[in-house]
Amino acid sequence: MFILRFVVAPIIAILGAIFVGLIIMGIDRILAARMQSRVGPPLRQPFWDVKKLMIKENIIPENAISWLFNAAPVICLAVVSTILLYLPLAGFSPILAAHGDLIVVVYLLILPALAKVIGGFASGSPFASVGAQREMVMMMSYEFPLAIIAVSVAWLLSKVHPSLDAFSLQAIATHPVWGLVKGPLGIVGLILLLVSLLVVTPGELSVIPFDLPDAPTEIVGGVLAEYSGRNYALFYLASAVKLVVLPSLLIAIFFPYGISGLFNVGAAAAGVIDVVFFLVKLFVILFFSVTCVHVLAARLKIDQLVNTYFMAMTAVSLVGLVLIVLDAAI
Amino acid sequence: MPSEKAIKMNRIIKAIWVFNWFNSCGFTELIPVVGSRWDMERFGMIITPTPRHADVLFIAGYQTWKSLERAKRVYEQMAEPRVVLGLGACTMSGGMYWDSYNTVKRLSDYLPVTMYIPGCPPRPEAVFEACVKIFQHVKELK
Amino acid sequence: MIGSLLSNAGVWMPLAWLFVLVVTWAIVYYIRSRGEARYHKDTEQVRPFLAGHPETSKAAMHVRASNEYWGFMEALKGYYHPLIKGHTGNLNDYICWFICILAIVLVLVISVGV
Repeated sequence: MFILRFVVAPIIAILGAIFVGLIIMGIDRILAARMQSRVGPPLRQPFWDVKKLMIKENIIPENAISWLFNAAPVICLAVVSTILLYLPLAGFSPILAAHGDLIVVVYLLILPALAKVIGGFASGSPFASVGAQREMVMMMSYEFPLAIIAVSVAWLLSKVHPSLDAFSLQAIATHPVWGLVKGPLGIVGLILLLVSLLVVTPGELSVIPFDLPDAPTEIVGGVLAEYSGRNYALFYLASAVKLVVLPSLLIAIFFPYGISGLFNVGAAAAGVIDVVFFLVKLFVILFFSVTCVHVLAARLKIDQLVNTYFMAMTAVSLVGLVLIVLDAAI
Repeated sequence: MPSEKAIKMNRIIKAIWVFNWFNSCGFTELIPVVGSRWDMERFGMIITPTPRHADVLFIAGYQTWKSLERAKRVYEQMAEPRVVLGLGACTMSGGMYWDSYNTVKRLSDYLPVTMYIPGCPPRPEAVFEACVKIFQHVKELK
Repeated sequence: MIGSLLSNAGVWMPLAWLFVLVVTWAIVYYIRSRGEARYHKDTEQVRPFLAGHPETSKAAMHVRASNEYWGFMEALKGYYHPLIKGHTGNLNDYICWFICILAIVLVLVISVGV
């Protein structure tokens, strides 16, 4: 049991997340291309990209602090895949449910961004330094709304079910938040929280309009400017795994429903149906909060980004929190 | 059994990442390649912001002595395997600037250009053809 | 004894996370080891990429840490500027601030207490 939980599960999680993430990345690229009336790359293109990066030379610039420069991508991918083990995926309870909760997930979400910051500063290139600084400012900005969302959801759960562990993601997923509020005020509050989490998602994934840390046309790839070969491939894979992690968190909090109950099938078939439905949900969320947005929008300036997250999204999520509290009080 | 090098080259053909070194009219003529009419991404080709990620260095148009110095530096900073594509008549012969005092007449005197794409400017089809052929060409060389 | 950190509403076991991290680290390291490791040391290749320009001096290329929070300062100008103005360097001003805040806190504490 120990081996299964601590060795086999992480291996399956990381390999599965890489596979699913790269496929989602491929779909995203195709859809983005279709929206620009292009044909787009084949679905397997991200796999080919990674395979190609693995045979390229792995340059370590002379100004770089080499051990930090090499460690940053490894940390980034390793940490981002551990987050998956704390999330309830496809209706199954989290593998490490007894060892961590929503607060841990919120904190662990900082680490991949921090790894990019380390990598950027360790590159010893002015472009990478600017990228790392932007990443840091961005990280500080979106943490605030994310924390408010976590607190609101846990408060709501603890109010309705005082006996449960309010921050436990399993408890949150088995008691969908939409059923916990009483009236329209609470529903509006939850929708505001959902909107702010949907806006935080592209920021965490650093895609346009929030791709300031690696703005290609502006600071030549920013954090990634000096990375090549296998180090860059690891960052590429980490961004693919993030494409699975962030929507999974959103699904666990706001849409933890399964449809296997509608079908009269055995346990194994129900599991398969739930996994497929989960992937569909994942994909729909990414389509609306990432693909559509990055086709439609242009890159924000760094002060506009801070305004968006630190002011606007914090305000939106705070209003959501207040509405939920009012709803419970009335 | 294909050689190790051939396997490498086959991987690169499927995902060619391009760094543009465009400092003349070649730039404006190559923009449509990215756009919806020609769409280079359907062949896995994307434009990278930095030479560290790139496989192909596109050099378009005439080079002055000052820009040549920088082009050389950019070429050196690319990760191997790397190749250089010379775009347009100017890189081959100086083009319409053949008698200017400060342009490079033949790029391959200074950089290891693997392939020239002739034309003033070349059609996007020619660019695609070159990108597919270039690695085949390198494979045949050694 | 190292155990789980328990609050009333959640749990966090650092050792479990570290153990899992070691496993994922090993996998990532394996993926990394499959890649090409070579590059040309001590050539032009390892120079920093500055859009083709030569590196003039390391100091001039360095982005200083004072620029770190530029985005923050720029966006929250309305908050920072009055604060900076308030820092006059005059000790009397600081003590004045201190007494004002103390008075407000006292009023709050007393009004809530009563």
